[in-house]
Amino acid sequence: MISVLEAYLDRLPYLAAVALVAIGLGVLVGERGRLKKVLGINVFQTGILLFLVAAAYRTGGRAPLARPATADAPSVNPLPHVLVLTAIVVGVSLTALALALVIRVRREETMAEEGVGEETMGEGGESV
Amino acid sequence: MSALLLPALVALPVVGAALAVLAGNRSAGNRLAGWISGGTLAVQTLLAVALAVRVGDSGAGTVRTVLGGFRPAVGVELRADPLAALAVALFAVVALAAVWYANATAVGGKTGARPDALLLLLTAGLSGVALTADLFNLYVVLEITGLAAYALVALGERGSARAALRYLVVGTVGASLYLLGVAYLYISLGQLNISKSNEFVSQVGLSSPLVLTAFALAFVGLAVKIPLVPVHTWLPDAHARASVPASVVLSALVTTAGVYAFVKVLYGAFGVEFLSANSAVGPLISALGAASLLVGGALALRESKIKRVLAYSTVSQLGIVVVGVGLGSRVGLTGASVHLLGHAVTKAGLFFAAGLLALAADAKTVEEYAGIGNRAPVPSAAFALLSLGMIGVPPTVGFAGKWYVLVAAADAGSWLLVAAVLVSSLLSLAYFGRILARMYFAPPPDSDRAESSDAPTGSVGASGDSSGGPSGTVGAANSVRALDALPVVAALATVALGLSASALAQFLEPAISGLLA
Repeated sequence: MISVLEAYLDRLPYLAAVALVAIGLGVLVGERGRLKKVLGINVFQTGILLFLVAAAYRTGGRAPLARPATADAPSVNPLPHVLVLTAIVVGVSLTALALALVIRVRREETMAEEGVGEETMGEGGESV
Repeated sequence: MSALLLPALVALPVVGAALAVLAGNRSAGNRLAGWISGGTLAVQTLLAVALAVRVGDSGAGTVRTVLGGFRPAVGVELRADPLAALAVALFAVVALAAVWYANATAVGGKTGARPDALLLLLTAGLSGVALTADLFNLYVVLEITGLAAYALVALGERGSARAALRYLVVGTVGASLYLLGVAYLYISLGQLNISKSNEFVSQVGLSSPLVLTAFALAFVGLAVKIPLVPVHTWLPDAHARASVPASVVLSALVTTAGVYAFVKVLYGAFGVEFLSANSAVGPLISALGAASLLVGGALALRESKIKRVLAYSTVSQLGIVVVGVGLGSRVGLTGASVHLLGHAVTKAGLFFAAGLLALAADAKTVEEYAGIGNRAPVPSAAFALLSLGMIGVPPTVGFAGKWYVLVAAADAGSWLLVAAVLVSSLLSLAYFGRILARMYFAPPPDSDRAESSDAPTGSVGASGDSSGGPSGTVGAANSVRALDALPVVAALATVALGLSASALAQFLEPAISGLLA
């Protein structure tokens, strides 16, 4: 019984990753609000990134700074961290673009509700 | 110098994009941004041609560069085989044509934003997809392509922002699933180089659950990007609501890069042995391709807007390519490659022609194409010829690609696939035939239009440039009329590629062998 519990505790980061992926996809599919969908994507991606970082972990490992790893002082795997940093940058760009689009869709809807003509609509889109 | 060629093909468009933004995306800098973009893409085209020559000359058929001075197993490797070289050249040429079209018609005048910088960023991402030999790097360049594509869609007509957002959500989920697949593969193999993954996959076990899960995730993710039925639903809105230059690059190039990424992952990373060890995978891929070509064709038949017909036709034609990919034979892959490149050229020309017909005669639906053959003869003729290419009438490249895929399907004894490809040709005959019949054999809708038919392109510039300002409509009309060259050149290229199909297949041979090795 204890060993089962330990096995789960050892894999806690992986379980958290699975939970984040599930929550993110659930929000993405279940929620109607556009902003919530974007947030769902963010949570979903965070789960995947956690998965990669968890895979890089080594018991007793240190940060792989300019110091060769030895048998008694292993380093954690640096490559997944590099990948995750890159993926975070990609995620930020996507979120920024998604939020800009959410704002524009909302503005177009408001314009349509207020009965503004199509010509002024385009201009409204560019006013900054 | 040669070590810089591959990185330059990805970096140059990024630099050009930055310069185009600095030159000003608003009206004052319009001309300058256009010239910068055009110049950058012209240089890019020359570099791509240089790469193709070098790849053709080299004995091994590949040119490779590892970035940052790392060992290939550690660093990101760029690698060009004949298929990659042709793809990079295709991307540069079509993007250049799109920049020309965008500047001549001043697309984007409505919202103020201009597509030049985005087209350059897109070219960088697409070239990266073609050249990269690293699984994670493939994710990054796919996302650069995606980001530029989502933004390009949003520059289109009213409602395009909504289509772009939907495209972004679906595309991001697809890319993230691919990333999860790459994470699985990295955990099992311990490295990310595509061409080296092959042997590691056999060591881990071709049918091990880890490898199969990684493949399933990557496949589903890339199926969204291709797109395959049933995850194609984002495509028609995105492709049809975008402005014409954006539609061209989306339908002709972005989809091509999606398929190419899938081919790289399937044959490069997992390898042909993975296909033979898991005998259900190849038929499954072909079956999804067949579903795409049938569903896409049937949906194209029901559409009344020309751009939506063309968008569904893309789903259908990519289905044929994926059928060839799933067959896993030399002939099948040759057919897939030829049809992939041929479709890109043909579909780019068709979207240009549709855009010019919309400018010349204000015709955007099948109904409105009635009698358009007399009012705008040049784009109409190009549209007709390109349609024949898409249907697969010899001697166009569409025929050559379909023929190879058909032969490969017959070789594999999959008569259902043979039937599916033939039925899809009938479907494309039906949906393009319907348009062609209206263009040439239906009377114009009313006499008003018939009377003004003497100077069809004269009114083009006026309507096309209405947002660009009052400056010289005559010059604008001329610059729009010169655009007629785009679909005409595409139509001629379709025939030329079809006539030299066996030479094309021979040039691609080292790439196919590399994939099947």
